[in-house]
Amino acid sequence: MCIDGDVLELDIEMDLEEVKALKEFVKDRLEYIEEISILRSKEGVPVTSSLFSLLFCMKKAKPSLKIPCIDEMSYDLESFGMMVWRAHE
Amino acid sequence: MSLIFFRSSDEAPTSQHVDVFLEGVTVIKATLLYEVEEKAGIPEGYAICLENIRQILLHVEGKAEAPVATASKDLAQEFDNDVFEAPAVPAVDEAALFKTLGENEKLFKIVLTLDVDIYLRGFDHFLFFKNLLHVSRIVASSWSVPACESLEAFEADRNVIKEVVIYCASEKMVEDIADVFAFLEEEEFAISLVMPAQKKDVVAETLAQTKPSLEEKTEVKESVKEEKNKPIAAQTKSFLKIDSLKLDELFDSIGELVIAQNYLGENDKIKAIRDAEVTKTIENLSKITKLIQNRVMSLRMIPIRDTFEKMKRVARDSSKKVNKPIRLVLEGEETEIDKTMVEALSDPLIHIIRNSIDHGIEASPADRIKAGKEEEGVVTLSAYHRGGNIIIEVRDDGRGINKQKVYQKALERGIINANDELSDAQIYNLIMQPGFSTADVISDISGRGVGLDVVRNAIEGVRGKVDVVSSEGLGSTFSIVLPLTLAIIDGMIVRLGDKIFIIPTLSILESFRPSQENVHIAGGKEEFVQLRTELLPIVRLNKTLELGGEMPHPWESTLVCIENQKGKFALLVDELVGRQQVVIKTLGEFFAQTEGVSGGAVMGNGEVALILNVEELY
Repeated sequence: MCIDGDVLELDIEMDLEEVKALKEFVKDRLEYIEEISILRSKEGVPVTSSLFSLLFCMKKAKPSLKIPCIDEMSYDLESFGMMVWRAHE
Repeated sequence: MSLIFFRSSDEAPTSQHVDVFLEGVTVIKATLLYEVEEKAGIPEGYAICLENIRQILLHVEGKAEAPVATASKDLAQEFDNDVFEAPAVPAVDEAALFKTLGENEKLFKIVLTLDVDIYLRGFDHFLFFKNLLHVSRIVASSWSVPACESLEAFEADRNVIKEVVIYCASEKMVEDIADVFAFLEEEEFAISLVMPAQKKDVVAETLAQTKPSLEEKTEVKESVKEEKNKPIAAQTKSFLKIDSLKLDELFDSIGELVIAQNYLGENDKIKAIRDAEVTKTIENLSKITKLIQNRVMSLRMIPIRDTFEKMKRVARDSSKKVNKPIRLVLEGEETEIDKTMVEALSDPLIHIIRNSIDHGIEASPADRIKAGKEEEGVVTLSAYHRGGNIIIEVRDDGRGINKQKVYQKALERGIINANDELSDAQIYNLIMQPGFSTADVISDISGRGVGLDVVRNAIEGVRGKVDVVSSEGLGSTFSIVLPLTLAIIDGMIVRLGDKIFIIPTLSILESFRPSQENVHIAGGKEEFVQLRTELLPIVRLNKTLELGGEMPHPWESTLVCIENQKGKFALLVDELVGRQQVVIKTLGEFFAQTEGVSGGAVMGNGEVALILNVEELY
């Protein structure tokens, strides 16, 4: 996890403990963050779905926040296939 | 309609709603009964139930109209965001996924509805993704948007993703895929094989040709869809419905086979043949007979699960009626039990559970807290095998049985005499005497004069017995001990003169030969034997059954210590022959009323031995 200007870069392989730390980190800094970018190595896959829950939470708290993997509502996870989000039925 | 609403919406039904639904089931059953019995009028509670359902419908209809706006698939609206414009919800196109399949690959659909505590249990959606890669290729997944309230309220270790649908391609079987989710609760996942749309249409069209109606065609498609979504358990097991009479006949025939086999094994002429091949063949036949007997017996065995499940409603209703919060814990629901016994077990279990809730659990949550317990009373219903019997226990963590109170009540009602010395077990068993009740207040659910004696009679009707153990302040346990089957009993064969009898081993505590100084005679007639600290009455079998014959001294005979409803006694017999499983044969109407005898059994040598009814011997 690193901040590059107003872009917060996150590693897709963050685990649950790291997600907890991320939440603590962003809760007071959300207004300074404009974009969240997910970094992936060639074979990198997500470790916890809690990361995506937090991303949605951040998006809800700050709708103008850019999170490409969420804004597009689909995200190609390579070996984990295409991930598609659907709103509550 | 109201059920459909609750099934398909996020709104959880309230306790009152559940009450109405359960009451609805009862009223529907009663109405059907009225129809079957051609009774006039409507069952009790019909109008009230109907009105309650109407009220729910009004509530549901109000709700059903409202969510149209909130159910918008537009995330921009959901997030109140004028910058973020979510595209229309991209649904996973199953038909398109088929195009990506390899030659022998099948498409599986896995629906994960993981609990909120899934991370704390060491699982994660992506952990299953990772494990799925060992048996399949993940093609796509569809995730419901996490239901998060606010960033402050977000807890990373609480799952807020309600449903994830995974599509994966594999050449493996559905069971192999299911293995990945073996550690999840049953309701947390569902796996189904996705059928290609073309195949569905072919099935639909073929069937439509025979019944060419458009509606029927739609129905067939629906049924294919349903088939597709069936849980794996239903797909891998198949069942055959058999008339229970045919099973009974098969059971009888197996009984005859066992008798014939025993006869063969004990026939002196056959024993005299000293030929290795004959001996080997007889041994082989014995093994096969035993195998067939066990397999046929297992046909009648069904898991006790359904009976246990029914008790949830009983516990819920009773808990509401006496206004005590109760948690019913079920253990060993997979334990198999003879079908006839399952049917006979239902009512006694209902009665014991009601009794535990009404009398066992403390009168109020405040009393429980005072006693250092949780507010919620716990009633545990468990089933397991022990020593060739099935044990069904109803355990509560209530106040236990007040021995002194039971003793006093029994004295008042003349069930016991003031000079009777009773063991703890005997005192506890007094609560199963007819008309016995220690409840200070007679409630609606138990203590209505029909006491636990009904339970004991019902259990004894299926050759079982009920034991009560209690610890004051900690709770009570009712243990129902049942034989594995009704057709075969484990018996102790005893000899009296030239006759043999069978005593069910379930009633036997021990056997012994007393010394002369331990035998006492009262009034020159009644015989007693001192067994350690207890003085047991001696019952002479030849006298009870009016067989006549010699009257040997007890110290020259064998005494079998037996326990029945009235207590313990020593049955005097000449000799213990051995223990054997015997096939029970009824004696027919003529001998049905013979006191002291409950049935007969054909022994290996072809002789008929009578099975003793220990309740009638003393």
